[in-house]
Amino acid sequence: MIQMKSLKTRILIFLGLLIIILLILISISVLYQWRSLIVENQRRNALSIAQTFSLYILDALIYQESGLLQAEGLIENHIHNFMAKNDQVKFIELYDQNGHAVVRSDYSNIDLENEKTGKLLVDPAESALTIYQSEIYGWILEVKLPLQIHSKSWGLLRMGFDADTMRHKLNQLFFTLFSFTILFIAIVMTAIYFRIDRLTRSLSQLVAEMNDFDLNNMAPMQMPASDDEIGFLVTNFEKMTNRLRQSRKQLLQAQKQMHQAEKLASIGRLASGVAHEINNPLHGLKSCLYAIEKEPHNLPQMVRYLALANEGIDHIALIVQKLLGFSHQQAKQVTKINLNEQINMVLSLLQFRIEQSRILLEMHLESQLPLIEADPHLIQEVLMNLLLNALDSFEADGKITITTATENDHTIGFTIADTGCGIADKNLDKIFDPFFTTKEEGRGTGLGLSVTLGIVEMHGGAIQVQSTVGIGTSFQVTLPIEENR
Amino acid sequence: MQMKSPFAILISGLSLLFIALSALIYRSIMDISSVDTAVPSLAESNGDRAVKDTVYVGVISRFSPNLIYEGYQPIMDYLSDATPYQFALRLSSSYEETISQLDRGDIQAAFLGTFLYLQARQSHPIKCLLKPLNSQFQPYFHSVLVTRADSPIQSIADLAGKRLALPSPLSFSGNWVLKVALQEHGLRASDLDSVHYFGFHHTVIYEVLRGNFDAGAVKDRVAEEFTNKGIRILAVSDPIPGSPIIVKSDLDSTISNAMKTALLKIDIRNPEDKKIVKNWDPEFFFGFTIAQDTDYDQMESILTASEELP
Ligand SMILES: Nc1ncnc2c1ncn2[C@@H]1O[C@H](COP(=O)(O)OP(=O)(O)O)[C@@H](O)[C@H]1O
Ligand SMILES: [Mg+2]
Repeated sequence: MIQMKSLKTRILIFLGLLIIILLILISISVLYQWRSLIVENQRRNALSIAQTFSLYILDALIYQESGLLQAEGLIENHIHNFMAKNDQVKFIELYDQNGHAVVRSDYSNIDLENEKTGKLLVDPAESALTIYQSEIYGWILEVKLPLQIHSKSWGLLRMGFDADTMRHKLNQLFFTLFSFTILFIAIVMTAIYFRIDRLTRSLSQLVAEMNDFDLNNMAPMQMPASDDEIGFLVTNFEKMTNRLRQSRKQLLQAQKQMHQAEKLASIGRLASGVAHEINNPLHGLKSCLYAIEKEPHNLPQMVRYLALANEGIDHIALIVQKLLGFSHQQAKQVTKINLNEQINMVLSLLQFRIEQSRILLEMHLESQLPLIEADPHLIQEVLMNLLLNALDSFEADGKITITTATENDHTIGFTIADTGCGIADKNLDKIFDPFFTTKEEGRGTGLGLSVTLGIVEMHGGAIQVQSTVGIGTSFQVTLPIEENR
Repeated sequence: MQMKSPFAILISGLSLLFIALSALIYRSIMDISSVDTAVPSLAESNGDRAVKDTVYVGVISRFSPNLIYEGYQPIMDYLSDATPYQFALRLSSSYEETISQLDRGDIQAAFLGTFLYLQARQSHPIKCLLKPLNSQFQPYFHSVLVTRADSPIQSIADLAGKRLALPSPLSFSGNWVLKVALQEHGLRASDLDSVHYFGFHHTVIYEVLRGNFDAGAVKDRVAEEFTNKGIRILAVSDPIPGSPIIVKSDLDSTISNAMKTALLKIDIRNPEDKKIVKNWDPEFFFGFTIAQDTDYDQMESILTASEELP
């Protein structure tokens, strides 16, 4: 699961919130606008009805006052007819200029005693539009209009209009807008959720791809193409992978060249020893040939000398063959090899140098050493490099101890220890670097240990070094019995 | 899961907030109770007036009572403000009723018509106080004869055999048509198809407009209201001294002088005064001038004139 805190997620959440807040604000303003429209409409409607009605009542009152109209109960009749036709009118009351009720549409709730005391019930000059909740009629929009012409007053008309329908409308309006807002928020949230989900899904896919990444595996990435930042990331990751592969190829090339260079250097160093090795049988051969030449007819002697010469030629051939074998360069070829045999093989190439100097060679080879899966030429190179370094570490005399041992069911190990000059502490972590050498120019290339480390790691093994200046150095190499890869 | 919980908390917090907000809004939406006292009513509020001696003023029933209140009550209000007296209207159901009110002492002053005044002054103790000015600031008015704008009648001579609508028999306009205008064109009342009297000047106009009558006679101030609304003026009378405001002869002169002073003060070239007369009956828009009983003497002849002259 990818963190919910990514930049894009934040932006999306922020955007979502913004949209929702905006939506709510719009809904609220629409709601209040419609509300005031509905209420205003109702008020205006009620007011105009009341005003028209009051004009009629006023006329009737004036005509009655002037004696032009003498119909009994005219106003009462009109009020009742009017209410019968307008069911939104809940009550109509007429007060005289002293504030006493003259006509009422509904006498059922009137306290007659109170009425008779002549207490002022309303202020006949007060005009008002009031909306309130009455116990009898429910929500009422009440209009009070003074029946007046200029300063002359005939009383007051009080009309109550039904306001429950208006509240009904408002209720409906509210829930319509409410559900609309909820619906819209749901849509926005879902859209955002899926957007985030897609984003995080492709991101986690990319991370998984990166985790599984293997330079050796040339298979292309399994990412869906997209034109957003993730697509960009994927393309760039692929480009980087290709560059990595490219540089690894170059690195391998360089390593190979380095390897070759070191090998040639080692051969150069071996050359003098090998030359001596060949020189001795050559001298023997020459002596044999000389003796045969002197006494060509001494057949028994000739036969003995020819045998000796043959032996010398065999010896030379063997040396040449070993040297060829060592310098032979080819790709890693794993076979089952006996480490002890390889040690002896390398030692035979170094035999002359060891014999030349006054160096003691101590061998502790385990006889039951299991065969290991490895490339014999590469293992020979490791042994050669370590032994050459050991030989180089002596001023005059010293001792080299070679030990082989089975470490456990899976690994064997060998140690090459010398009593040479040792390695200064400050150099210990540098000796495996390519081109690090403390030796004078021409003698050291600084490549030996770096190539050695490369070969050991290639076989899945490890090297450890222990050294004390002036006392000696010991390189311990462990190798797996079965190759892992 | 732990990654989701702050998100979930945020979401649930916001939804709670949303629900609370919705509930709040619902309450405020549904509470429609309100009080609004700034409701346009029929008139300005009735300011408390000090209790003063009340002078009752009558008005002949030339217009419908509500129209009279509309146009004359402001004059009463003005007089109440401008004099130490309280003035109140007393309407009547007929022209004669106003005269009876004067006799009974129910009213101390009255707006009479010119004809009614001429008739009444012969037998009742009244004197005229003021008469209104017309738009030329002359103390006259005219009676006019009107027809529908599309009527074929082009002159008074065409009225023979037609139906004529008139205001009260005691109105000047009716008397002028029957006793002056028709005779000038050699017609008599009996040459007409019919003559009918109505209560108010406006009723005469409505009857002509409805086509129930072919012609009618009214005050010029009423005819002018309808000249663009389907009424055509057929003939206009000579200038007639304006309908007088009269008082009872025995009325305390301080009262009649106070009325005089207050009403003569009105000069509509002064914007303040123009505001005062704004709601007055159009007949009184241009103010008043002093009226002498003798101003009306020249009109006396119409009282005695016979309808049946050649
Ligand atoms: N057995 C050893 N005793 C002392 N020093 C050693 C030994 N093996 C390696 N070194 C140090 O490590 C350095 C690097 O060794 P190497 O990589 O083989 O390069 P080179 O032998 O060409 O110098 C040597 O120069 C030397 O200083
Ligand atoms: Mg070396």
